[in-house]
Amino acid sequence: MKGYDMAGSEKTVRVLEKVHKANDLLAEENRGFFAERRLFVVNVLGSPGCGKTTLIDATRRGLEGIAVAVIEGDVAGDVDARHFAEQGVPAIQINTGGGCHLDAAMVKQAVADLAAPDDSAVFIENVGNLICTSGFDLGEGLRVLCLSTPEGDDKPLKYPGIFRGADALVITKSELAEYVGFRFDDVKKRASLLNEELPVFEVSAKTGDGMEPWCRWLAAKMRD
Amino acid sequence: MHELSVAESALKIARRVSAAHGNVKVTGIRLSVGSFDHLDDEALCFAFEMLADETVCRGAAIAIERHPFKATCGACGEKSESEGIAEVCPACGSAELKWEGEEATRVVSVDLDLPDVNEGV
Repeated sequence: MKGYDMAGSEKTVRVLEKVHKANDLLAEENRGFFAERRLFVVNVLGSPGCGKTTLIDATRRGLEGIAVAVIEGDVAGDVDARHFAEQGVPAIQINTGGGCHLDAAMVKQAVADLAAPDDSAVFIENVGNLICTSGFDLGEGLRVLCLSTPEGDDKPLKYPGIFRGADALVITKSELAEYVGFRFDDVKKRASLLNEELPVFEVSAKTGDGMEPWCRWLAAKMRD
Repeated sequence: MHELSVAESALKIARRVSAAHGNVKVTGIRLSVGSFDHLDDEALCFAFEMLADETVCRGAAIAIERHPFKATCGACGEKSESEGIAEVCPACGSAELKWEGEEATRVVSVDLDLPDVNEGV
C-alpha cells in the first residue's frame, strides 16, 4: 500500500543554488571596492614552485610608472610578503592554515589592511594549486595562470578547469624549455581546446626574455 | 581537500532550507558537480558527514550528479562526450575541438522529513 504512511512524508525542495554563491556575492563586493579605489587586481594562479612570486616581481619592475601592491596567499609563513615589503612594496600575507585556495572573504579582509594607493595594480598570489583555486572568484579583474616549463606541456589535459577559467597563460622559466622537452606549440594547442582565445606568453624572469610583451599587454589591460 | 569548502556550503544551504520548514530533519541532498570543478565523490561525502554530525543533516543521503566533458568538432561538427579531454575528434581525427561542460557545482534539491503527510508544497 502506497500513500498511507502516517509516520511522516518526504518533501523534496528544489534549490538549484551554486555552492559558491556566498563566495561569489562577496567577490562582487570586492569588485565594487576595487572599482571605487581604481585598483586593477590580478589573481595569479599556478602550482607551488612555478614561479608566481618571481613573475610578479619581474612584472612589477616592468610596469613602469604604475604603483604595485601584493597580497600573498600561502598555507604558512610570510616569506613572500617579507620579500616584497623589503623592497618597499605594500604587501600583506594571508595564511590559509591548510586551506588550499584563497576565497573572497580572505581577500576582502586583506585588501582592507593593504596600504595600496588608489590606481595601483594589486597582484594576489594564490595558494600554489592547479585544482580548486580557479573555483573561487576573488573579485579580480584579471586571472593569470602561471605554468613553468618543467611542469610539462600536458597540463591543460590534466587540469582542464584552471585553464578554462584563465584570462591569460604565462609560461615561465622559458629558458629551461629545451632541457625539459617542453613544447610551446603543444601547450598552446591543448589550452585552446578549453579556452579558445586564451592569450599565451612565454617568459623568462631570469633572463628577461618575453617580459616586455607580457608587461605591455598587461599595462594595456589596466588602461582598458 | 577543497571538497571541505564545497561540503560546508552545501550544508549551509541544506540547513537554511530545513530552517525555513521548522528545522525538520534533512534526509537527502542532491548535488550537481560542475565538470571543471574536479571534485571527488568520496571526499565530498566524507567531508559532508563529518560536518553534518550534530546538525539536522546528520545521516542525510548524498546523491551526486556528474557531468562529462562535451566536445564539438570544428571540422566535422561531431559532438562527443568524455570523462577526459581528448585532443582529436573521435569521428574525423581533427584537432579543432572545443570542450565544454557543466559550469558550476550546485545544490539541486534538499529532501526533508516532514511530520505531516498533507503539508502543502
